[in-house]
Amino acid sequence: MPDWLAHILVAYILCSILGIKFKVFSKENTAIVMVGALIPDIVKVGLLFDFIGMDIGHFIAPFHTPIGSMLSAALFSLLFEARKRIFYLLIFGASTHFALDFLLMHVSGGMLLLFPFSWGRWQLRVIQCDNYYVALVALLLACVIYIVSKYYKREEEG
Amino acid sequence: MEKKRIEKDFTTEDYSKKILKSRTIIAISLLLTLFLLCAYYQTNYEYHREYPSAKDIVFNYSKYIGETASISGDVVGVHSTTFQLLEKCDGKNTIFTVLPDSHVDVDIGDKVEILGILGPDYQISAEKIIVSKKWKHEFVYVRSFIALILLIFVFMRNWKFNPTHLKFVRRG
Repeated sequence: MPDWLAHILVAYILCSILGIKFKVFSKENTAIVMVGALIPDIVKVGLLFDFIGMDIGHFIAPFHTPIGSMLSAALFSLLFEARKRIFYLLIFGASTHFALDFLLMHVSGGMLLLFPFSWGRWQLRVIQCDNYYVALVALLLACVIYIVSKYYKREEEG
Repeated sequence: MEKKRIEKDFTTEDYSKKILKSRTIIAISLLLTLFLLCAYYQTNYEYHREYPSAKDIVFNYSKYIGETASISGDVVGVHSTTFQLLEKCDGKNTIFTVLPDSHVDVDIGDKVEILGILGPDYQISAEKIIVSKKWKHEFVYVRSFIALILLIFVFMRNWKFNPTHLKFVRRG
């Protein structure tokens, strides 16, 4: 995985850009998309179990598939009034996660994009898991977007 | 007439209860589906592996000599032309001696992924190697932890939890 910082910042950047054209990407909904961007990594709960000597990695692996993320998003959206909209926003966030993870490089394997219908694994092998440039570029872009949006908001109010 | 009477008696509390009930049913269905999905993966992933798993290799090593395998683990020893990799599998630690096809810059503590041919005595002739330096690997966790804190802050600034209705509502 690229780190979570890259995931949430890419989601923030995309929402900020799309927010210029589409009203739905408000700051509240941007927060939802950012949560969605980490939904596939629910699978990292396995790391906590590793500490207590339990290997549940192979059981919870489907959380890091599109279908598993959709089900998790649906479950999380039940905690909101506008379930349908929240569900779509979470799915959008999860899609950004898969798009980033698709770039990763491993010696074998890849992402189970069509599970449970296919066990085919795909990856583009562009960046290593520990690559910090993605997070760095995303951080710089997010800062620029944040400052520019604050400036325009102040201009509008003033 | 009957319909009108029902609508009149239907209070907000009844409505909330009905919503809560329907949400519970949907939540249970989703959890059940997720559980089935996980169980399906758990019981079938071994049959769909590209290469033998570390567990297979460790428990039946001689069967896989000469075959291509993909292993990953921590570097525990570095020598002039080889290095040693610790693979943890089902609580059992196995040390592989890696024979790289060219010089690889590894240090103790680095995480390494290897695709190669298994030889006797837990040796593996590497064809592909990906090295993740210890500091880089640890830095991923640091960044991710910062991201988690940031996300909780951003989310809680925009949404708050209403315990009576068991749902998140917008602030302001």
